[in-house]
Amino acid sequence: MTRQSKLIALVAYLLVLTVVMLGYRTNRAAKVKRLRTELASTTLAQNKKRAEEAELARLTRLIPVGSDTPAFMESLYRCAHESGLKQHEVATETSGQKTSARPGAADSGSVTKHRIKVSATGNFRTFAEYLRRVQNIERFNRITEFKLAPDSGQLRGTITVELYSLPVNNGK
Amino acid sequence: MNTLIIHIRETSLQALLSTDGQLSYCRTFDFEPRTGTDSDETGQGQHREIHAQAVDNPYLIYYDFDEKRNPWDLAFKTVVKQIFSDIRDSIDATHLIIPADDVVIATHQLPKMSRQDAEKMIARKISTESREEFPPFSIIPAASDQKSQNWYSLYVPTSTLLDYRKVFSSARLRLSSITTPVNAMIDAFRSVREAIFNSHAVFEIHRGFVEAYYISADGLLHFQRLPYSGSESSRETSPEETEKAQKFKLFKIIDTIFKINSHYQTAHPQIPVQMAWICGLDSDLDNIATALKEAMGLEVAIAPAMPTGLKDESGYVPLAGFASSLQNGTAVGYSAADLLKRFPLRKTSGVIIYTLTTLAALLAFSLTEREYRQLNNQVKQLKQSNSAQKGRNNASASSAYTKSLEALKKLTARQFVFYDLFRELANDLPDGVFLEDLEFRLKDDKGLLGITATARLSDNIGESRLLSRVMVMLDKSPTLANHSEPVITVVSREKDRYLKISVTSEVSPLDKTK
Repeated sequence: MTRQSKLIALVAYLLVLTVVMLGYRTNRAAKVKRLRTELASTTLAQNKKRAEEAELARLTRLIPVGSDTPAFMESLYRCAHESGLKQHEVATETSGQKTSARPGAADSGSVTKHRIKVSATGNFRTFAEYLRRVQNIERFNRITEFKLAPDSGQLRGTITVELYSLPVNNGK
Repeated sequence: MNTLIIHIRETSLQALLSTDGQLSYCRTFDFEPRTGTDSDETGQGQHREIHAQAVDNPYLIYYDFDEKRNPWDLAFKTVVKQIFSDIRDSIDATHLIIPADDVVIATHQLPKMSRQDAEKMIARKISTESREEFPPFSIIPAASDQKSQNWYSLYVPTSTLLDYRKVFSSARLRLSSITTPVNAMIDAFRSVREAIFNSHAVFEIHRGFVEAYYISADGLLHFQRLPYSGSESSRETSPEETEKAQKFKLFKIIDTIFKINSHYQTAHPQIPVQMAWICGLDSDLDNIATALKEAMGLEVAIAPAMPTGLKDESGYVPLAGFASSLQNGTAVGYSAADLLKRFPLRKTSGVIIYTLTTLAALLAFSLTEREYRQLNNQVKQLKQSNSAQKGRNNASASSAYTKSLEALKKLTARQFVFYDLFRELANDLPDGVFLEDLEFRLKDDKGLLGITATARLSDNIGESRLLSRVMVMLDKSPTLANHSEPVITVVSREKDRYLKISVTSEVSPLDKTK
């Protein structure tokens, strides 16, 4: 093999190697870039989904499928006892009203409202503590009416609390 | 154009300046160790001879003795400085004739073939012996017969060439070319070689050595270098002693030439010497020529063959020959193979390059593939987990929640915190004002609060600014907003008169979602 042919062979080899490597790297770089974009978008979608799931879990906890009013009433009694209220009475008020979460929505999948009437006697401090405890119950509730008036040297309070549930038709 | 030619010998350095082919300056610099350094008994006589001759030379340079370095290497910078001081002009190109001892001279007997083929064969042989892939060498045709051709090869190791270039670079001189004394001497007799029928002998006598070149019309028949020992005493003072010493030296020179000539005649009995030339720095060249003519019965002339016009021109024959060949463009130069030639075609370096580039390519390939596969796997896993999750979600009953998500969020967003209101009323209600009635109602997601408070009616209501303070409390309250104008009446209770203040206000939802 002459010197010239050796040189030509080496240059050709290096040239081919460079071209092949450049082509390969360019191709792979494009694919890697596409994969990275895909990975980023998938991760973003997954994170969004996770956030939504967490939100759903929170909402499911606050507004369960079943009304579970008795358990909530028990919680109210517990709060009254811990706050020191007297003559604490809790009663449901008529049947649950349905409030549509979306206009025109069917019954299934609509938020149902459950009203609970509470009456009790106590002082200013015990009512304040009672309301604090009620509002801290994990189950979501809204105090829609509250009246505090003097009664025989004490305060008589009447409270209307609303509970919510989201009945789901599972075909059962 | 000023061309400086330097001829380095064992203990001297000769410089010659050629200005556009005209020789204008020549000088010999002798080197001498400072003192007390030559304890070698065997070389003492020869050294003293050199010293005796160098005493007459004003360009004698002393150097500090160092076994590891050549004398001319040590004194070279001084010499260059002296040359520049002498010529007082710039130098365009510098050329070098290296010592004969640095040249590996060998003879090769080859079948008759072209010069190019012979060169290739000899190159392979030198390459094998020296282990240099591209050895710097030249060949000169020697004697031949009908079937074979003898060649002289002159090989200068690349390391030697690089060393000289390094030394010259350190003195800020860039060497343009390097040649050997043999090539330079042959160049010096180029003009007479055509007239040579058999051979001409050239004897250069220089600082204790006789260098003999037997040249033919087309090449070199014989080359030999022998020292001649001079007188032991170099400090003769009387004319008789001086004459005696000179005669003894003449005898030694003639004897040495005879020895060389007898070697030549033994080697080439069929090629007689036609003529002899004598040159060198010896001042007694005429006597040597006369003695040689009488002793050998030959025509003897003092070189150079073509006068140069320089004083002491006989002492600078190789330099003049090299200058002439440079001018004609026929000079033989020795140079290390350039990088392109040496690299990368050597077997080892070639293998290294191929291996390294292949390994680099493989490394790049494996790293890229690894990164690509990792990413691909990640994307696949993510997609799989997403699709599995999707399936699970579909199976669950949370689709209703998903559908009502926004409404549920709105429902649970914010609500009024009663405890804050109670704390505010307890803390901020002015003294003497008592809360009588509190009524809250939520309508259309808007909370309305009715507050009724009483205060004992007294004469100092104006001074105590009781009513104003109640209103300030309502104004500053963070939980109450947009309160209505208060309704203030006077009522009687248990013989006392009371002020009854009633205010309706909107409540601000402070609490965030649960």
